[in-house]
Amino acid sequence: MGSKTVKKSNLVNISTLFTESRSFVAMVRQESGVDEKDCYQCGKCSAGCPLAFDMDYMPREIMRMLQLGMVDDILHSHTIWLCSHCITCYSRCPRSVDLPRIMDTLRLEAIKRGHAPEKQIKLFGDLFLWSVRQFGRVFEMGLIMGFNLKSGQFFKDIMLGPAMLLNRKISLLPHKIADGGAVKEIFDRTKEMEREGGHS
Amino acid sequence: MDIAYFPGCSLHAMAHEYDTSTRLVCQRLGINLYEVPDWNCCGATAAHSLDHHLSVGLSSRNLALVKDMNLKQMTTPCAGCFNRLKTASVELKQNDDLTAEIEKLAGISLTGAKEVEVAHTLQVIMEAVGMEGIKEQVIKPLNGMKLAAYSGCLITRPRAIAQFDDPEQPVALDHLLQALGAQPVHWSHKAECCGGGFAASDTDIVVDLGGQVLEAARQAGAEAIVAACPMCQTNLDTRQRAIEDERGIKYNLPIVYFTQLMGLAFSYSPRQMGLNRLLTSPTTLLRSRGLS
Repeated sequence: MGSKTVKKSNLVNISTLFTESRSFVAMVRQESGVDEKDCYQCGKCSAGCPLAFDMDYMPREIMRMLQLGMVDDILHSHTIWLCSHCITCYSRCPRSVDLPRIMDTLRLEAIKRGHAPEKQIKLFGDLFLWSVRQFGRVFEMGLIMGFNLKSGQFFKDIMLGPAMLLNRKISLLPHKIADGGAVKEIFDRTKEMEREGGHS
Repeated sequence: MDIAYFPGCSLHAMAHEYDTSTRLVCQRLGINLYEVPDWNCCGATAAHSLDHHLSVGLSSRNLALVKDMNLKQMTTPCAGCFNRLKTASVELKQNDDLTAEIEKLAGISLTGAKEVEVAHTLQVIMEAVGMEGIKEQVIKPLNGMKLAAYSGCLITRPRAIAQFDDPEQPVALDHLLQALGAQPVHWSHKAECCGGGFAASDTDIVVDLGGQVLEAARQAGAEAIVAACPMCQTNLDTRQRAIEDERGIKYNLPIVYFTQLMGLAFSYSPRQMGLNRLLTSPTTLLRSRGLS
């Protein structure tokens, strides 16, 4: 008692949660194709997760929070940003819960609501996709320089520069595909469909 | 054997040597690679983190391009691209509603694209040629070189999508190295994560996870780590100095693509295989086995 370090999640009133967040949980189930109720909390996912050391909630806890409908805590968590999509958890899950897919769905929902506690991870993803939309392919050099500029780490990895250039590991110009319009269209139509109320 | 080839963005930039060595080795093995014309990026982690339909849409355009080449199979040496392309391929085959939505989204018909089969290049080589076929091509065996076969995450996972090897204890890469005359070591981290896409956005993660992989390989007595993914190679090679500083241990472990070693064993020169492009030089190791 009286511990100041107790997590907020340990103090929620679960009796009202489920009814309030039923539609959110149903949406996650629909979008991810994963039934959160399949999880029986064995914790195998957390035991094997290589990123667990950096997470605020264990993957197992995210599943429990989803079952209980703790929407705000989930969408503000760092965990959903730190999943590296290595798929170790899903390979080991005795209930075949596709946790990486759930993490994707939750991350997207967090973005829609303007939550991104891992700002640099979000920034890198945005710049990566900007590059793909613009050129049809990733322009590594531009991506890295853009990331350093926008994240304010102007000299990040500068020591790697000479070796990378010398070993011809980086090209200074983007490769642009011929039918770039087709790729832009995929980006724009995906956004449109989402605005029209999502897809199945 | 004729097969469509999807190099992916990394192989046209940082992992140029993986591209060159793959092309030469496949040619020697009678696997004719035809690069998909005007292919686009698979979207990698960034796209499926943002929108599943965007990810499937980007890969579907590539699958449709393969159909236009009148080929039914596509291979990629990149584990990340493989995961995205095969996920799209499997989902299009299984889900007609999704296919209809993606057709609308990409403005193309996917009837033919649905028939395209995707495999990682390691799988193609092991299944189409096999250990015996590889052995027949070996001119300069690797002379018992002690190697840590590093499959990583996405060549075998998730099981239902990858449909290749074992997600926890993969053996295909070990078998391939054996066929080249090397001695694959038993080690704990052959299917562990290197930190993947966090290379730039959260370098500490890569230093931590990559450090565990390097340490496990060292403890097993490996003289080099063999990768089958440009992200694994780049993370372990470019962050090796930072990992050494962090852990106070000099690893000096070259991170080599499996195709580079195949090429060496097939008697291509280290330079032809782009082994001079690695940041952690393999020259001393190659000399010790009379390969340089």
